[in-house]
Amino acid sequence: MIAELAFAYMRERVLATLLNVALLALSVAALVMLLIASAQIGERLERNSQGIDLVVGAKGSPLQLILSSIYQMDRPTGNIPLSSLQSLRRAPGVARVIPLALGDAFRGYRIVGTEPGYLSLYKAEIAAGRMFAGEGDCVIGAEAARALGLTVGQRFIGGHGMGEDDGGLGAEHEANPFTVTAILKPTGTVADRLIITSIDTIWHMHGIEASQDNAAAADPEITALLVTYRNAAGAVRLPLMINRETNMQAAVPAIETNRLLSLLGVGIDGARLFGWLLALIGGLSIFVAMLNAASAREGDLALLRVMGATRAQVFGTIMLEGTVTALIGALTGVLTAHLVIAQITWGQSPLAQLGIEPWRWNGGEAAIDAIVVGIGAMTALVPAMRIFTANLATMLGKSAG
Amino acid sequence: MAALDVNGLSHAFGSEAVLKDITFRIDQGAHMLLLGPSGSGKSTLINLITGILPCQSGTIHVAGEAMSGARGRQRDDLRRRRIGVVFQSLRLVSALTVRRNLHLAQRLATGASESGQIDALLDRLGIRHRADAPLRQLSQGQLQRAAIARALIGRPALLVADEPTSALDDANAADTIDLLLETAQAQGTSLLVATHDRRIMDRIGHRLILGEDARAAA
Repeated sequence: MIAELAFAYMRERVLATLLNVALLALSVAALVMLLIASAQIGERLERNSQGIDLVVGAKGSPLQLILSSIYQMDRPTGNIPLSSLQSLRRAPGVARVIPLALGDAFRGYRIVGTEPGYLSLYKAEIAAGRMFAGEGDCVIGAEAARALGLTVGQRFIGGHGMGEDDGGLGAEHEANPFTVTAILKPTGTVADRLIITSIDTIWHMHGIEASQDNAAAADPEITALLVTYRNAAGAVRLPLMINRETNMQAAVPAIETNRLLSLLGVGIDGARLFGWLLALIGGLSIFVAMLNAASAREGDLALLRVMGATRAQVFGTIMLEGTVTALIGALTGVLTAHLVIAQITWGQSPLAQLGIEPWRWNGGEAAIDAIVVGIGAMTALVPAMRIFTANLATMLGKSAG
Repeated sequence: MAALDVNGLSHAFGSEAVLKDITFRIDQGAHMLLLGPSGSGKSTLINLITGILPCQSGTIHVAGEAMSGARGRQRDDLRRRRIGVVFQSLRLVSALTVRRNLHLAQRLATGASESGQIDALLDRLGIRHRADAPLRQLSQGQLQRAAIARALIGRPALLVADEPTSALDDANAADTIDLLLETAQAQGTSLLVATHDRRIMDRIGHRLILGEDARAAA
């Protein structure tokens, strides 16, 4: 009986109900989007930089160096000599150095010249095919393969540029097509969105006939080096030495990532406050609507009591209406948030490059829903109590006429 | 057994006595008019009989069960099982159709809902074709018939009608009182009709007169 009446009243005031649902849905959507973005961005940034203690590249913004070399998001700061690779590999306290050669792309997906060791950073495994070996060979990250429709054995031509919109749309390297030798299994890291090949292939495409073993011959360049320390001594000496004694810069991913997150955090905190303000407005709207509805419905509620409904049943009708309105708003908000994220992470947008997964649920969403439903229940409580404690004879006196 | 037995009933609001030593009885299946001007205590008497107000002095028995002396929930329960009420303007739950109102009333009164009985009652009252229409589409006369159906669907021993025809035109007023009497009769339900509507005064023989009118009648 309580449910039938609550839903009947919601249908009767469908516009007011929809307005309240929309207000709450907006606030929940904003809060859930912020929750997903902040949680997944932080987690993704951390996962992408795992195993990389230091990035060495051309002088410039350290944040730009980190973004371009680890997260494959920004343009590189410039190039550095290949000789730096051998120097760093000989340095005490260094366990591993992985070179990167960037600058090309295929339909917006970056082509990274590197060594097979790069894949081990992300624990990337081959789903089908074999590791790149000869010139022109490449392996494709799972998401890039899906988006580009590439399969093992297919050939394609890369182009200059790394922008989200224009990168790799040309066919500047027509003479040097790539051949897909493998597709990688999904890793949940930046590797999913990359086309990975050897540095020799990159050099060959750009007319640099050199190899890492014969670096001095043509003074070739690379873009950056991903360094893993062997011990703590490396962390103390190496960055200082590079920044002071060479024309390169050394950037620590942990520091730059924290700086990035704290910059993002200010905006996220502001937006979160706005989201909760919206939730409060939604709650107040339900409160006013329920209070007015309870007053307008006093006759109905008195009649229900006359018909034999208990105080608790009448109280429950009002409580259920407020709670269900808030629940529908909360669930609509969650769905809206995921749909909006799916829309804005489609294709090559910056958020897509951050690897935000729109349909991954976060435990915090349930907490936001619970709080919003609680707000709905609380706002229904006052009008419900008013009816619960009202004198039936007085209510009838006002309504029965 | 009487459908309603009122004995020595008195009631006051503060120091103002509204009812003094009222005694009357309505036998099962019988009908009675409750007459009196505004302020004569008609509504108070109805509220006491239906258990909306607690009884201060005297006794009230509905179908043999004591309303007087019962606590709030017991009075609610007795009203739910034994009494149907029709008001002048408070007729149906606005958010529900006539049929849903009747289902609700039936469930509250008996704990079960039987569609066949609802259809039969709506047929008898001539509004079955409007059973699923929104209430705003029903005329005043149709709404009052629906209210009668709502009050009778639980097969109460006593139906109390408070000014059931005052808001209706002549044709609808005559129609409503006829239907009220006919349907109550068919179900064996006793009627107590509170009114000052002269159009229906000659339809019911037994009368209880309150206030100034009582002194005039005496």
